[in-house]
Parts: sequence; structure tokens; C-alpha cells
Amino acid sequence: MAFYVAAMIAILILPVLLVLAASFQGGLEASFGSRRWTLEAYRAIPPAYWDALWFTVRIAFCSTVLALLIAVLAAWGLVRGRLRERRLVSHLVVLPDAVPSITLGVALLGLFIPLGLSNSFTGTLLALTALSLSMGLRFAEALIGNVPEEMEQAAVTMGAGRFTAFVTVLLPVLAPGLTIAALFLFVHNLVAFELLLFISGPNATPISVRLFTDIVDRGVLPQAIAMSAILVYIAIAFYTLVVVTVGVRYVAGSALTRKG
Amino acid sequence: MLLGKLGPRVEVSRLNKSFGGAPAVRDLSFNIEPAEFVTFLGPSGCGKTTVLKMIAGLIPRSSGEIVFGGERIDNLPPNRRNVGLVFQNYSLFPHMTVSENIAYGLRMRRWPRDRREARVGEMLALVRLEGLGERKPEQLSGGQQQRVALGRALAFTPDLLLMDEPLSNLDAKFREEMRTQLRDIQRRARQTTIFVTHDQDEALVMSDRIVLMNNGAVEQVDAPEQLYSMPQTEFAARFIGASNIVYGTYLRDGDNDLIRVDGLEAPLPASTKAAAVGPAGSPAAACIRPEQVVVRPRNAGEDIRSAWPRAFSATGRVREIVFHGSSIALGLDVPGLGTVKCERPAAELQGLNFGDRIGVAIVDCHLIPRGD
Repeated sequence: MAFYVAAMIAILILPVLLVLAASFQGGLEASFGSRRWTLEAYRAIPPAYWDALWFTVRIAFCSTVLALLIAVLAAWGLVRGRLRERRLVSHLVVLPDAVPSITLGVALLGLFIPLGLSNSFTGTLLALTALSLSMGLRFAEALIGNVPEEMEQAAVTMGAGRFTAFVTVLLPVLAPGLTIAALFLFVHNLVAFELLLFISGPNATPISVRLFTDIVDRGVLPQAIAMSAILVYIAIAFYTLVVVTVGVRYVAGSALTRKG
Repeated sequence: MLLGKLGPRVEVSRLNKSFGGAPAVRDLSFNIEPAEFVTFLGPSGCGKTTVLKMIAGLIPRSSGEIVFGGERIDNLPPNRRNVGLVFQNYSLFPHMTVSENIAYGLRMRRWPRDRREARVGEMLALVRLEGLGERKPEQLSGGQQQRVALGRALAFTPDLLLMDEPLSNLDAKFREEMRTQLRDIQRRARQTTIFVTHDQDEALVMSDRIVLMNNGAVEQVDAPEQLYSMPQTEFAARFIGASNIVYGTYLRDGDNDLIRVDGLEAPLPASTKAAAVGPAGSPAAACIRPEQVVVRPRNAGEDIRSAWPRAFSATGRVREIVFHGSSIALGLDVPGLGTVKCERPAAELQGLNFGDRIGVAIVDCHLIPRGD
């Protein structure tokens, strides 16, 4: 048992550690110990990277919020409305996940150019939201399915309208699970690449695309590695923030909703 | 102290519900007087919870009327019916404190803050949870959570309180204590109440009246004593309490009712009979309660005849002895009657052993129409 856990951790964490180590050593041939540790690579990060990072953080944040907003309301309708078509809908939303993102990106480009949405914040936002919706919906469906309907029925018999019951009772009960869903979506969106490759442009360059084009043009520069490391720090920071706010028991285990 | 205002009379008539063509509730009609405690009793799946949810407006009815104090409420959405509902699993809001849970209905009714706080205090006192208002539901025991659910449903003075098997999640000993507490709270608040249960003891102990349901329809509506001593159908006789049911023919002897049981020479005396039993000579069934069966030593036949001159007497063999503390339940093999259940005070049966032959007398019974 311990072996499998150790193997899993090694496979998962080692590449990340290598990137982090490399970011302090100015090259991909990183090693632990022998070479000089320095912050030079971080200082060499050009302003264009910071712009791209800021753009990415904003877009990842907005798309996560938007996707969850739609997904939670849709899941509420699907789970509580007892639509006969529910199963079909649940399966349909998995479909985009089955198509390679790069293909979707090409399709989006064809759709966005006539609408003037390619190379824009709005276009990138819509693309990422679409990408997040299927995962968001599955999260939300599972979360809402876990909350007994009596909870909202109790609120309704006490005088709350259906939507008031949703906002005052269901949402707070779902909050921990939704926060974790948001974390997953956000980190996912932060590094989304294939989907955005074609629709990005000078006005809308996510950091992943910026790094890719630089690496293709000029090879792996130390500042690119440093920027990759920064993305890891952001992910860790958000994870920590979520753990601190909703409590470790929701993140580590399977308890996604508040228990009565 | 404003505990509760006397609510309106509740009238339900010809209520029907079918799920995909299958009838779940059939032509249900009943009335409830203000402050009355009425129990819906029936086996699981008989439609009692469906009725409750239709009254609360949580599921739509197929047809029928629900009237509170002369006004139809069956077309109102559930949040405008002014009905309190206590669920089997309590369904307290886990993110709110006890006080916030109780205040929820008041907030929805836009009560001002000071009135709300006063009412929450009143409710906490009523359900004996003073000092626990700031706790979260998960910090309370099952019985305390139960009382929060009750306080929450009573706070906004509902016209009707509905309780769906609220005691079934409690352990047996505590459940009995809660029966009394719940009834006491209901009396003090003068709260018109419908209580749903499948537990006949609970229904007999707590109710002013019992609506006995079977297969989506009302079987009998009566006070507990009537339901027990004068069941109108075989279903009612079998469902409420223990009983021996035997089939035969209804006879009249002067002013006395009798039943000649198939396969027995002598008739059984019956002091009561259900309304639906036909004229003398029609087929009928006898409901013999275990306490209507008397046992005596085999040589004491004279004793029985002098105490109960009209009693049916025979000799039986003891097949089963179950000690219940103050009483003992016997299973007696009586020729022609099969196994007869009998319950006597423990003191009467000292020295009785399994397999003993014993004098058995059936001193009375209740006649019901013969089932199909």
C-alpha cells in the first residue's frame, strides 16, 4: 500500500519539483544541490509575461464564476425539476469533453471571427466558460443530488419562495463543495491552452499561449520556467485559501456538502 | 404569552392523487376541529405521507378540495398556505443556529427584529431548549433536533401543523418520552395537528382521533378507544392491537348478539357489532381481543359459568407463554378455533406450564362484516 502511495506521489509531484528547482537555477538541467540557487530567472520575466498572467488570472476567475453560476442553476433545474430528459442532458454536456480541445478551438475560431470575438477578452471568456461548464455541471449535479429535497421543502413551507429557498438554504449548504469546484475550475482555466491557441491574439494572450509561442520561437528560456513556477505558486495559494476558508475536512475527504 | 392562536377548521373533501395512472389516494375526506390532534395511521405505502404533502402543497393533487376556515387553499403555492411541517429527518438548516432555524419562517413573513427575537425565545421555552439557541444543529442530540424542528414549524402560528413520522428516528425508550412531550407542547400551543405514523401504539397513545388508512382510502375515522373496541372492518381489527379473528354466522337470541363460528357447536356472545354487519343470518366475523379470553384451571368450569353465564367455554392446551412483566401473553390451542391469543395479568397465571391443559372461556367479542 505504502509503495503505491509513494509511487503516485513521486509521479505526480516530481515533475513539479523539477520545474520549481529549475526556476531557481536558470535552466532545465536542474539538479538538487550542486548549482547556484538564484532569483535571476524571476527578475528576467518580461512585462509581456506579467500582462499575460494578469489577463489569464482575470479570465480564469471570471469564467469560473460564470460557469458555476450557470451550472448551479441548470443543475438545480435538472435535479429538482425531475425533467424526464435529465439523463440525456447530463450525457450531452459530457460531449465537449470527448472532443479534443484543439479541435474545439478551431471550431470556435470559425464561429468567433465573423462575430468579432476572436482575439478578445469576451471571446476568451466565452470559450473558457464553455470548457468549464461540463465539469461545473457534473460537480453541481452531484452536490445538489446529495442534499435532501426536504431541506428546501422545509424552507418553502415556512414561507419562502422557491428561489428564496434556493438562495437562503440550498446555496449555503452547497457552499463548501462549490468552493472546491471553483478551485478545480479556476486552476484548470489558469493553464488552459489548446482551446485558446487559435482564438488568442495580441489583445488576448493567456500566459499558456505566450509561453508556448516564446518557447517555439526562442527555446526554453529561464524566464519561461520562472513564470511556470509562478503559476504553480498561484495554484498552491488558491488551494491554501480554500482549505483555510471551508475547512480541511471538505477538501481532503469526500464530504462536499454540509451535514445536518 | 402568545403560544398559538386557535386555528381554523380544516376540511378535506374527495382528495385524489394518482401517480402515472396508479391511484395513491382515493376519495379521501375528513375534517379536523381547531386544536385537535389527528393521526394518520396505516401500513407503509398506504398514501398517508402523500396526503400530508398534498395538504402542504409539496405535490399537486389530482382532484379534491382542501379548505381552511371556509377558504380553499388547494390552489395556493406551499409558501402561502401557512402550514407547518416537521419531517422525519427534521431537515434543520445546518448552516443556521437553532435560533436562526426557528426564526426562518418569521423572517420570511417579515416580522420586525424585536418581535422575531421575542417569539424565538418563546419557542425555545416551549420546546425546552432555553440556552441552546446559539448552537448549531449538529451539536444537538436527536431529540433536541426534533424539538427544534417542532419549534421552527410552530413559530409562525401555522393554521395546521403536519408531522411526518417525527419520532421514528429516535431510539425506542426516548420515543415514548417524546410522545408525551410532543402532545404536551401541542396542547399548550392549541395547535391543530396532523400526525402521520405507521406505529399503532403511537397513534393510540397520542391522538384525539385516528384516521386509519389502507390502500389510499380511509378505512375508519374514530377516537382511539372506539377504533380499538369497535373496529368497523377486518383490516381495522387486525391493524389495531392484537386480535383473534374467526368467521361464522351472525345470530340473534332475544336482545343478545351471538356468532356461530364455523366448526363450533356453541355460539360466542358479542356485546358490540360494526354498522356494516347484515341482519341475523348473514356471514360475519368475530374480533376477539386477547383480554376477552379468560383461562381457569380445568376443574373450575363452574367458576367460569357463574362469572360469565353466556361465555363460550372449552378446554385448550398452552402452546406459547410470553412474559411481558405485568402481564403474560398465551397462545392456546382450542379445538375448532385454532390458536387463540390470550393476555392475562401475570398474577393469575402462576404455575402455568407449557403444554398444560386448561379451561378457556371467550367472554365477549365484537362483530365485524366478513371480509372477502
